[in-house]
Amino acid sequence: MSRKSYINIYVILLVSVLVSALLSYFGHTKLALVGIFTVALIKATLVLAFYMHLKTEQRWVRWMLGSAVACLVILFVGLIPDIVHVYGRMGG
Amino acid sequence: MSEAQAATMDRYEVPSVVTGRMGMWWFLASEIVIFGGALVCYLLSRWHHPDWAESAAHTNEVIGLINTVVLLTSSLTMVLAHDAIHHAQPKRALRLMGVTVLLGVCFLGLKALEYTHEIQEGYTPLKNLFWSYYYFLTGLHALHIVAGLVAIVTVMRGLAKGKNSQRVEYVGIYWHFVDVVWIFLFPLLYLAPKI
Repeated sequence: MSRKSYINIYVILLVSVLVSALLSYFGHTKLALVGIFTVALIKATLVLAFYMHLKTEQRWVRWMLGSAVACLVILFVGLIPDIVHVYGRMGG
Repeated sequence: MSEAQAATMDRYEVPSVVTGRMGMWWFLASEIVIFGGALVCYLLSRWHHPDWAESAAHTNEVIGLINTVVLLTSSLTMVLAHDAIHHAQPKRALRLMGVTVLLGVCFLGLKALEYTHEIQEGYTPLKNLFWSYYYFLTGLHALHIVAGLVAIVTVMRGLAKGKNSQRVEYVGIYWHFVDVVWIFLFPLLYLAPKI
């Protein structure tokens, strides 16, 4: 990648930060919340793909990192019944 | 150089570079579980406690925003340092890494300012569960920033002596990861709770 590409991505990241802040400031709805996290996901993807060069990295690296994220999703989904529902009924 | 010698070079020299990067990726996979586990706990607790919005309204959004820009800029300087090494410009890489270190210190300074202000206002880690999570998550992240700064300075010292230039890439991957963590912490702790 060229230096210019890195700088272009930086500009996109800065604009994304601004969009997140504006969504938080002006939007007080669930849709704004979805927007904020969508922008965060886009920013993280840009850094991972271009600054960390995951886009051109070997496939096993993507699988390894994907496995770690998959563990987190399982943890999240697995804990929902305990923390949100059961703990919620106990009034904790 | 004979074909056998070339094969030996390939076997012992090329993998040594790949091994360093592989080690860094393995390390980051474990870091994903550490940070991710903490974030999952926070998200689930937050889901159960809508009343945390009141506490979260007191986090300093402006400092959080400035720190986001500071970290993104430091990621740019770090990736440009890696690019400079790729183009055999170690002096340029050293300068860019120096700027990265300054930005990292700036991030920590702003974080310290933010903590001071919050503690003076009475929002200590023991105030309630939201503030416990806030200090734990941002504190863990700040510790990783400190570790990153130590690693960058160590790599810079080696680079100044003309040694181990491949480590610029490894430390860069780590630094970008710390940036990615902040990309999620910022909306979770500063922006979303206010909605």
